[in-house]
Amino acid sequence: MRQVLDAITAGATGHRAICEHTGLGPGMVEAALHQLERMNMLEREEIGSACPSDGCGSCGSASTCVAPATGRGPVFLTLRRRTD
Amino acid sequence: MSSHAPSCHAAETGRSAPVGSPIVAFVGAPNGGKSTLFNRLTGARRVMGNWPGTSVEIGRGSWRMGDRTVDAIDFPGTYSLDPLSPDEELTRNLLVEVPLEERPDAIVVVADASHLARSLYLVAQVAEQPYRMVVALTMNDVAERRGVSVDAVKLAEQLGHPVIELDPRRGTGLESLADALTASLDAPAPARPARTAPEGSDFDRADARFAWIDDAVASAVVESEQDRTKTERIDSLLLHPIIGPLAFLGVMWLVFQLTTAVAAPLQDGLDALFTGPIANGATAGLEALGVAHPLVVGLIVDGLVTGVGTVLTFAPLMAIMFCLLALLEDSGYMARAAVVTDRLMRTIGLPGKAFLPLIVGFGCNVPAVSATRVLGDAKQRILTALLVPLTSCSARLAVYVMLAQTFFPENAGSVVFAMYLVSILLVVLTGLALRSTLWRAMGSSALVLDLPTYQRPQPRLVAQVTWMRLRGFLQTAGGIIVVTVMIVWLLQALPASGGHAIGEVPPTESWYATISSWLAPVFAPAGFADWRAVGALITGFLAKEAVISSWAQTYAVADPSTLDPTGQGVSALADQLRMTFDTASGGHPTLAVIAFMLFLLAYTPCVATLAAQKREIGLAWTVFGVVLQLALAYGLAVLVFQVGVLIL
Repeated sequence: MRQVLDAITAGATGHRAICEHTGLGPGMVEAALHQLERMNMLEREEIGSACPSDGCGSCGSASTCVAPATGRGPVFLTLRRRTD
Repeated sequence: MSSHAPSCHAAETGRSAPVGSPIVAFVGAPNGGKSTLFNRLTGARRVMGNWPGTSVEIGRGSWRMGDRTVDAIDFPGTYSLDPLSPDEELTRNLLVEVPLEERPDAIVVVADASHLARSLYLVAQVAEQPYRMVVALTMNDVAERRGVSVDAVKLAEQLGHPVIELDPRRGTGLESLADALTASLDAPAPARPARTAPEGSDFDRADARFAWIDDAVASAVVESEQDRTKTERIDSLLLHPIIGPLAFLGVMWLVFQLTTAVAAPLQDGLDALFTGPIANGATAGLEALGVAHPLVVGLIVDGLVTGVGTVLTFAPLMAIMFCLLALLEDSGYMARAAVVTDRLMRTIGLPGKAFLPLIVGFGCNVPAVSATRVLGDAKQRILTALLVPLTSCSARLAVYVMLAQTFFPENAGSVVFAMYLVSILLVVLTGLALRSTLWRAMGSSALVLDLPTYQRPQPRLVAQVTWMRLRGFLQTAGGIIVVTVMIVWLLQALPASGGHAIGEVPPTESWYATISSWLAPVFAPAGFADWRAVGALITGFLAKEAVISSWAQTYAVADPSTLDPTGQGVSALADQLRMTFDTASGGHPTLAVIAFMLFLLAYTPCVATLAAQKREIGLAWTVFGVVLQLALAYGLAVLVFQVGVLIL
């Protein structure tokens, strides 16, 4: 896990980059990222759409919406700065 | 809740196996086949229900293994014995927190072979307890398809516990599982755990477990080298730290070039329709009704019809741009653009999600401001809403095209593109300035995990999205433009002093000219202290789309915004503008028009945007935004003009 964290801090962006940086297999990298997220050290952020998560009905711009409709966006995990 | 829940041996609810039967717990991650296995083994002899004293649903049933019947308990899906949910908390309580004699007699950990390392974390934690344990390895077919091959024998050696490959859907390996579990139950309960629990902080313990898992995986798992997919090969370029942003700029440049070039003939056709048959028809209709007073004809034909015509002639321009953006989105490229710009977003303390309101702002600022509500953090929402007006909306595009063709006919496309670059720069620099002065936001590096694959855009979806956005633009801007054109016409029709009838006022003697003249001297340092240029900015405050038509009204010439770009550059209005900027700037028209365009870019957007800002971030921040934009626009225009005059 420490290797994966170091890789992220060093600027690796993406599974393949972390694997190359750490020498770990894809499965190990995936598992480490999953655990880091569970430990609240990585924050998941989906940016597939600019729309409210509860749909168009709650949006004041529904009648004039020009936000992307396809919602095919990436998922980001961001390092969370620890306060302790 | 869970602290009052009875242990596995104490709870009677759902028990179908004879009293005294060994209790076997089935644990494992969600979607790993655990419940499928449990159901396969227990068949109809299972019951689902809440564990006593809790709201956690657990399955329980009897599993006949030859002569022995086992009391099987299907725990909720869990990744770890460090709980994040009530389900996981109950699992931990019943497996770890209760005294040894109250715990299950054995544990079957269901491990997903296609996500083996992740599944083995739970195995590592269970191995730190004195349990009889058997690892049931599922999803072997999925693992194989992904090029992952697991040697169960070697894995068992490394883990120190039996590992049984099985497929609960097909029913293979179930006997082996039963045999392994029988052997475990026949042996005495372990006096101590198979591995020593690591010490230290939570992170240290997790890291130690992963080291153990890595050793096990390294010895037992072979992952074949996966060829890069076509998507990955393309992404190696489009997500490259240097090539990525350049590619993004190139794509955006192409979009704007195509927009301005292809829309031109369509705009010509619509213009001919409104200035010809429709305007003539309206005039004839008013005459037939006997209400052809100059004021009425002017208001209806020169105001209303002209205004509607102006709105609709923007439609081809907007439709083409929206269509191209929709194509990029559906192809999957926009997700890459989001990644490329995310890195930039984070340097100004904004999350990647802020990319979308800002990119919407390049279409229209009004819905872009509304889109900021998806940002959960209030400070980020305010910051993004303040930056949206600096994105050069499509309404400003028409003015850029006109001025670029008039003053830079050989490089018009590049000049327009440069305005968008300046817009992006302003967003970044202003964001940095606001962050360092008003807020201290966290900037952190992001890790991209999941991008959609590239695909052929679907025409129907692209058409739907294009229409939705075009309709939104027309609805938002249409009414404002029409009203603005009518107001401007009225201001130009009303005499500031006596001597002229309403509707027959020379432009220089109208209220429009008077108000603009009061403000013009303020812009002398920027090189365009002419009431006609300043008046357009006043009109632009109401609606950027009406800038060109208000100029046409001011100079009493035909509105060229419906002509193709080349035509605009040689129109009567273009000639008038060249004279105006040349005179106002003292012989530096190029610098003055650049200063004007920069002012137009950065100053307050239309009143509709202000209304949206007030709704999203409140009046105080909206006023702050107005002051900020005016200061920025004025400072930039003056700086460019004054420095340019010094240099040239």
